[in-house]
Amino acid sequence: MIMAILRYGVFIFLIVSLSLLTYQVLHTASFGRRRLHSEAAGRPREGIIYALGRGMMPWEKESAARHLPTYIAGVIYHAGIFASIFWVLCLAASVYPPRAVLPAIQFLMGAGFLSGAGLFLKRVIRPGMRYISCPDDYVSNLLVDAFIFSGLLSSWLAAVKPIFFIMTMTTFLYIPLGKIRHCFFFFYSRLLFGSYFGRRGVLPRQRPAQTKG
Amino acid sequence: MRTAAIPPSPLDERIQALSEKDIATILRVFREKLDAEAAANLNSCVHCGLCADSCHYYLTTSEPEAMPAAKLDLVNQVFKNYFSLIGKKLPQLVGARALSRDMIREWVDSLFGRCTLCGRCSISCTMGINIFSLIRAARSALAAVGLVPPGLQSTVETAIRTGNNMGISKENWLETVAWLEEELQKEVDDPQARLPVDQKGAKILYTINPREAMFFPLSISAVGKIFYAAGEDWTFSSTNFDVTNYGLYNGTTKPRRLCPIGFSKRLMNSDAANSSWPSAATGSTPTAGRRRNG
Repeated sequence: MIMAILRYGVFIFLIVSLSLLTYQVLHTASFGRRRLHSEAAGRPREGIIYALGRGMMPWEKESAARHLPTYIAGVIYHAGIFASIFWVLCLAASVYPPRAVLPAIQFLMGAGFLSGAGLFLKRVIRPGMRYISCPDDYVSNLLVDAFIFSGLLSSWLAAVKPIFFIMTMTTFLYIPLGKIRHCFFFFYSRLLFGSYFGRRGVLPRQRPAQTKG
Repeated sequence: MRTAAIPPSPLDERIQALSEKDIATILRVFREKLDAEAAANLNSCVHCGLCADSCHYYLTTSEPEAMPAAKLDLVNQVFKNYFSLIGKKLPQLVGARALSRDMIREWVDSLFGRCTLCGRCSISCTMGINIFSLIRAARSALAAVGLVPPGLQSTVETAIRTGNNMGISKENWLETVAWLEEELQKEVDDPQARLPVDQKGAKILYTINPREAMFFPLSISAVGKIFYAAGEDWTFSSTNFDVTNYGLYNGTTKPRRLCPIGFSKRLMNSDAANSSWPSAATGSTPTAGRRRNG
């Protein structure tokens, strides 16, 4: 009975979370549109394609290229999050993935948890990171780490499943409140970024011409 | 031992003298400058800190206050406090802060004093946040109550009043060019070498940051030497030699528009077919831009 409630709870909290996130994104429209004065020097569409594709590669951004370990940890962390979401939806729907897939999910959750913990440590240890952090930064990271870790444990111990469901619901509920809402706003911001700099002819980034020497 | 109290700076006095109405004006203008894109961007920062290395202020000083994320956060804290439901309900959790006089002081120090609006952090941002645009919105709000740093404001006013940001008279400019032309002729050992001014029908109009004429004249003769070596058909203008737009930086729209409009009008009256445009207000990287007719 309790497990059934928790299973339904996962889907209900997911729907609530997605609804609030959608509302938050749509609510930004209430701030109105800005009139651009300069003449277009490029195409927004090409900028958007770049921003959501090649522009996310580490060699395209100096911030990622100069901090490759952090970039890779971030990618693995997010892979772990998606694996955990996939796993919890499987458990809640009682639709289990093929046995051969489970080790891959476990690996992603394990690596994701370690990456998340590493990023948390980086935030705690580095003075510059502490300076730009607010409580939400720590809470979000710890909450997601706990969510992934409970997912990983639940893949071995059935007794942990209720805890995993509760962690999932807590995380889903927290997403619209804190910075984890970037799961929606990331794509929105990248789209706006591509459109703005595409129009200005800055994106797609051109590679410097090679000179014959 | 008694130590003499440090007298408050003019900026501190100005901030302390702000009325509640002034602070409301800052908030009103800030809100007016925000659009859907800005609101989306302000919801997107995850404080990853990867933007730090894109900022020349941070690279030079290593101050955490100079990190683009820290500067953006100053803007974001106020945004959350007044324009976000979560910021209003859970300010401590998400770091929302009211626009107090202390906060205004931080805005002036960081948003004017630690940023040139170069936009490099925006290009590098993993989320794609248009950071410089948001900092400029906050500058606009500060400008609405006269909190633009005096050095910047006087530069803008000089540019509007005299046509160039250093207030160089036409006579002084022509004298400088004539002197540099003599130097060029000696250097290349050719009495025919020229730094042409108002050359009718020239292919290229070369413009400068007037600071070059005042403080770094050798950069002008260096350009003349390149054009000489290339055999280019080019010219300076006796009047429209300033390409900078400091109006972009003080946060107010009118000067930002006045500077390039004034330049364009003068350019339309010149006979050169093309113009070279140093980048932004620094004038450090000349690029060629085609003149638009009409």
